[in-house]
Amino acid sequence: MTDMTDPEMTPAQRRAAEKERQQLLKYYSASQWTLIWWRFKKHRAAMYASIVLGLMALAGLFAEFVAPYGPVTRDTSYIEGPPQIPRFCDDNGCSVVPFINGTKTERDPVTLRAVSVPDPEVRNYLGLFVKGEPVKALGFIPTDRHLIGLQNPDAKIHFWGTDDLGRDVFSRTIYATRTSLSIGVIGVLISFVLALFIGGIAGYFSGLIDNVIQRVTEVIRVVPIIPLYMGLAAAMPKEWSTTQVYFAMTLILGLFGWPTLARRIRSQLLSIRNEDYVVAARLAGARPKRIIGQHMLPSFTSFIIVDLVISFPYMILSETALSFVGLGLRPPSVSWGVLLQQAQSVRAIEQTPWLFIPAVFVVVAVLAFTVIGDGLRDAADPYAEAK
Amino acid sequence: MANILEVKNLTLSFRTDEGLIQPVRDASFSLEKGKTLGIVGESGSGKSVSTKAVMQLLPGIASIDQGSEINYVMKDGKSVDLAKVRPHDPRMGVIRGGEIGMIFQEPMASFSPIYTIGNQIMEAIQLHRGLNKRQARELAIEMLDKVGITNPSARVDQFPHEMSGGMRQRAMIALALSAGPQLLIADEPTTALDVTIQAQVLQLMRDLQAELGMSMVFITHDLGVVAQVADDIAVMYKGEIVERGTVREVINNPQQAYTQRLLDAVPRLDKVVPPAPLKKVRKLIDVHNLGVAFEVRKKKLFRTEVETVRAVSDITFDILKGETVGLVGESGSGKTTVGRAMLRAIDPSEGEVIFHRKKKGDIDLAHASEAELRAVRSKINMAFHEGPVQLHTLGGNLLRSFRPEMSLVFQDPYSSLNPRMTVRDIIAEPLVASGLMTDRDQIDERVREIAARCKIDLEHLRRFPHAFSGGQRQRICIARALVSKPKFVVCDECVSALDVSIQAEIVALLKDVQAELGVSFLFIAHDLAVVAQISHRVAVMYRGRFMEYGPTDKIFFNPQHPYTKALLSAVPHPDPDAEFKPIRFEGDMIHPVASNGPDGVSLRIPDQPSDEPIQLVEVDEGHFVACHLDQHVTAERIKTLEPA
Amino acid sequence: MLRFTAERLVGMAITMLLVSMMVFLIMEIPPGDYADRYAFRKYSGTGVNVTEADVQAIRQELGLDKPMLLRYFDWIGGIVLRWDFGQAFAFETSVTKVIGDKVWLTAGILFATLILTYLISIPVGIYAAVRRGSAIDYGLTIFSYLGLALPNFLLALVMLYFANRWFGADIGGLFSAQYQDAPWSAAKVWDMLKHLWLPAVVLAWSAVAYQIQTVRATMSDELNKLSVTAARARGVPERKLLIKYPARLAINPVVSTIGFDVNRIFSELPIVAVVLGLTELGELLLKAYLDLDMNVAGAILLMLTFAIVFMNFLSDLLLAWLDPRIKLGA
Repeated sequence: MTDMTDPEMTPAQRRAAEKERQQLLKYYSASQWTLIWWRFKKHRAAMYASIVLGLMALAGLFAEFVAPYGPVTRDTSYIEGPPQIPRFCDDNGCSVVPFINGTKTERDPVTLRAVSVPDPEVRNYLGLFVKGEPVKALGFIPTDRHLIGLQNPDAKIHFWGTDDLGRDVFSRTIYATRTSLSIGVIGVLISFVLALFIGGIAGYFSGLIDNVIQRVTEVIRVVPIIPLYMGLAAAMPKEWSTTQVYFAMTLILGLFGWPTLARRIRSQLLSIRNEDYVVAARLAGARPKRIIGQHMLPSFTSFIIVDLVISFPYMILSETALSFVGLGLRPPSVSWGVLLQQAQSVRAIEQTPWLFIPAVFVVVAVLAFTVIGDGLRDAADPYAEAK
Repeated sequence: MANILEVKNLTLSFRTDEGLIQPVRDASFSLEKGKTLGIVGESGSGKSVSTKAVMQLLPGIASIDQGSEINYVMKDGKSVDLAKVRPHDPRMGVIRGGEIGMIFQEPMASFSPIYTIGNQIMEAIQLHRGLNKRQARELAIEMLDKVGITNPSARVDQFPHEMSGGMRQRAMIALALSAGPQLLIADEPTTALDVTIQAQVLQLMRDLQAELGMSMVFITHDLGVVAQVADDIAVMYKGEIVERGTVREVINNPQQAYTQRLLDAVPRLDKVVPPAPLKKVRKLIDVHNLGVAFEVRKKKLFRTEVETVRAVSDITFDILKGETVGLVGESGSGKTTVGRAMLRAIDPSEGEVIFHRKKKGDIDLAHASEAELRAVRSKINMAFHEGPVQLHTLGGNLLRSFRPEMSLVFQDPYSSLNPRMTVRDIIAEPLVASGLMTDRDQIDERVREIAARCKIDLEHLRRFPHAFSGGQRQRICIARALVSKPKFVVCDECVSALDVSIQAEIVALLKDVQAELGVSFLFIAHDLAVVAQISHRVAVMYRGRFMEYGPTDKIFFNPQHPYTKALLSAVPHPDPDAEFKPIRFEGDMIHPVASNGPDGVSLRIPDQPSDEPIQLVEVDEGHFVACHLDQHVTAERIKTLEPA
Repeated sequence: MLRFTAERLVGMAITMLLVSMMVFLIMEIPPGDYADRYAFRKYSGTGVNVTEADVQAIRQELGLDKPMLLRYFDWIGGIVLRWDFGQAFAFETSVTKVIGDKVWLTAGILFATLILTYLISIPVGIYAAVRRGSAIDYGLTIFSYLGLALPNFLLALVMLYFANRWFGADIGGLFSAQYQDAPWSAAKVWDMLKHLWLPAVVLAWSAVAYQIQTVRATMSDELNKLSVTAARARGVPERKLLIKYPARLAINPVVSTIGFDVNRIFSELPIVAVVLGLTELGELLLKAYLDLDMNVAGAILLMLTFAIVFMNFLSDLLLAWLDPRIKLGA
């Protein structure tokens, strides 16, 4: 550090030195979480990923409000319709407020089937907080306002098109986001609690118990996971309600998600237990409660958070895969996997590619979790470099 | 004679996240053909990286600045400026290994673990000597023989992990020399080795250099080593060469303040004045027949075999109040185990550690078990209030209440501080954890008091450990160890990881607090000179046993046991005129060398820690030597012996 | 080495025993048992009224009324002693017959995928580590992220779509139409190889993404090792140095995770098989689950897991052979 009292310094240099000194002081007295936050902030990709994921979670949480329509609301006048992209201009001039053209039904001259075609004469303007179906946001706040929609309550807009029953893909995807993310959260929590319990026992008692637990963990890890999930999912009685299936799914994902976590927790515990500073605390007369609470847990938490974040993608991908083949959630539930069930064939790619939009959500969510996990992993041990 | 290597104005730049760093600035040094140049400096001085520049082995982020010159005269007499040669230039392929050989600090890490020693030596030979495989193998065996590896034709097919550290470094030397270089760069080649092995390797290098007429650059932080091997010295400090000259000039008559400071800081075993033994002081701790055995589980096909390995046995000594007892020995000698067993950080398997206390009476720490503690936890307070209790059955409860009276200072100041707590909380931890103090203000006052005593800036108490360097961290560790005003502190290699100048400060600090607080230390170290500086009495350990134990001056200036003698002879003194004649052992391992004491008493170094009956016999007042009892010896007979 | 092998063999046997118990439990979970489903299937639509007594008779005949532990021993005993996995009711024949040569098709897909994975990921990972920080390294990292985030069925669909456009309609499945039911011949094998690349690419995708990162990380660590500097200091030419020292060691983590890769491939197989129309074990497993044909499902799950355990065993042996420290360290 530069000497503050050096008489040869110009005032500007002195100010710079003072600023540097202040920064260092801040660094010196920064706690673990401050350091982690500083390092995480530096990880730009992870910051962006957090924002994206945050928006996704918010949209899912307030799905009733964000989605213009309900997940099973049908628009029979617009079946398998392509996405409608709002625009500012058409042949009749431009407008400040974006709009879409209305649709009208015409008979196909060849097949005589009724088809929807754009009606350039009608303009339906987009609006925020528009009136629509009455819903209960968060399950208890009644509202008929929706974040976005058409100002004309009789017309409908399908940003991402509709499926074969005329259901709005955009709305369904928003609702699915809630289901899929919440399954991930609950699944991760269940496996976390199990892992903490089992890994903790294995790490705390060594010897026979540890050996047995290690063996069992090994056995579960060796069975291919998706076929295992499938086996359990297949056993769900057909007559179960969607809620029952939902909770059964989270339970299945959670029940077998723990082995990897438990292993990490165990080895983490073992390595922290032998840290010199833990030995020092023990020699200073600290009781186990204090050793665990004051010395082991704080250093442990950040690693556990990383592990939790990186186990999300597995949950999400597993749910999606199971639902995709019809062994997970079932309609009328909506999850990303359920939505993608409709996009199972090459034909769908050719004719209704917009049905794949939920897949983008899957990819983005998984990517976001992975990137955040990476950022956290780099930040989780802020002391690694100091050595 | 002409210079073989001449480095002029060498400046290196590293592009790092924090910006451009110059670990070496404007460094110039030169080496005469056939001579040895020692480059000395503390950690981070740039000594190692500047020789890497010679070999073009710098990391990718580094570059050699304009104006730097590294003139090297090849075997054929042509001079080449290595600063201008690119790392991938084909000339480098010849120069590396063929012209200039290099050996490194970590003999284990410098061999690849997946190929045999022979494979890697032969690779160097075939690259530079154009021999076929069979000839290369013969030469490799010959080289292994030359560096003193016994049974080289079998050793050549061994993997690095099958050899001991000293043997690996010998093999590394064989590898470096096998390609026939005319210049050898040795980067801290003996730092990772025990002192007796270091002595052997140093001798080997001196002999080989004389035999082959090789030039050598020897990088080290150890002034003693450099005084013994080098002709010329360059002292580096913070990336600059602060002083150059012949060994005699620089060591006997340093011109620069930094060199002077460095020389002053180095503990000199040949000039040390050990603290005088304490007189008329009561005993604090009695260790009696302490032994520690570990169970090693060996997984067999269908069952696990449990093998008992004795780490230490028959340790008997005492520590007086306010005394420092030094515990020296090489790696694996069991000195750390003794320290930890005395504090019950590990459980001793036999013997007693009696802690004498004036008011509360004696307690045997060795038998107070942590398991008992749990069983009687509810009785703790009751037991204390209701008068005398059976100390033995109380076990861990009492042990816990004893702990604030004893503590430990670790070797690694980085891992021993919880990075998530402030310095204040770290120092306060023993008070809080043991429940000794509960009042915040009281605790703060005590922490401030002890921090001031350990010369820690009170401003720093709010900071976290990551703000501090190794030396400062070690002060915090010492403050933590002393905060509960313990009577006994074990310092386990607590200065080994530090640079000499900081080492000296910490030793001074320990002496000061001992004078002020009257605390007793068990000072564990492998560095004999440091131990001699601070200890009132010293015990020399080898393979889990005491070989010799007594007042420091007697151990160091009148050693009796052949192992002590060998150990002392192996220490290189930072004095170019001192004679360096380490006692040689057969091969690499120290074999039982018997020295016949007078009157037919056999004093020898034991083979195995547990197999042979050994007894400490008092040869002089308070001076004990391990004797074999295979001859019928009585204590009286030995007492009559004159010290040699 | 012999003892090492024997130890691993014993470990493998214990693991398989535990796995078989778990698989049996999964077979037992669905409500109702084999007799219920058998009776339902056999008589549904025939107009015959099935009584509880009829079901009970079937149950008795098949030994399903015994306690669970005994049934487990019957089941595992049949497999071990007679290679008999019981009856596949949906097909009204034995499980062994239903599975038939699908085992070999699955093995074919597995090995094609593994070979493809390692052929790509090892050299690419090494390259990325050597050129760390370059644009190519950056691109590969992004690819790895994407590779791990893309649901495999989606990838399969997209690949199938493009394969159809570029190579014609007959690219799905494992065989061209004329060979589907033909007996095995050289031509049929050749036809299969022509179809194999698509599932192999789809299945290898995420494994490649994962392994590139592993190889890159180990290689980066190895490149910084002192032994590499030491080898460089004795004049070993750069290319030879990279191959002999760090690259050789960077393969070790790949070898040690072969079992993990097989696990991942089998995990993805049923879903990818559905999309690509592959007629192998994964597809059969999914079908069996949907039909609750638990004898077939259990048999396949057991076989897949056994393959993983066996590959783990092979990778242990291979690793011990590759790294001399393991043999001696025990």
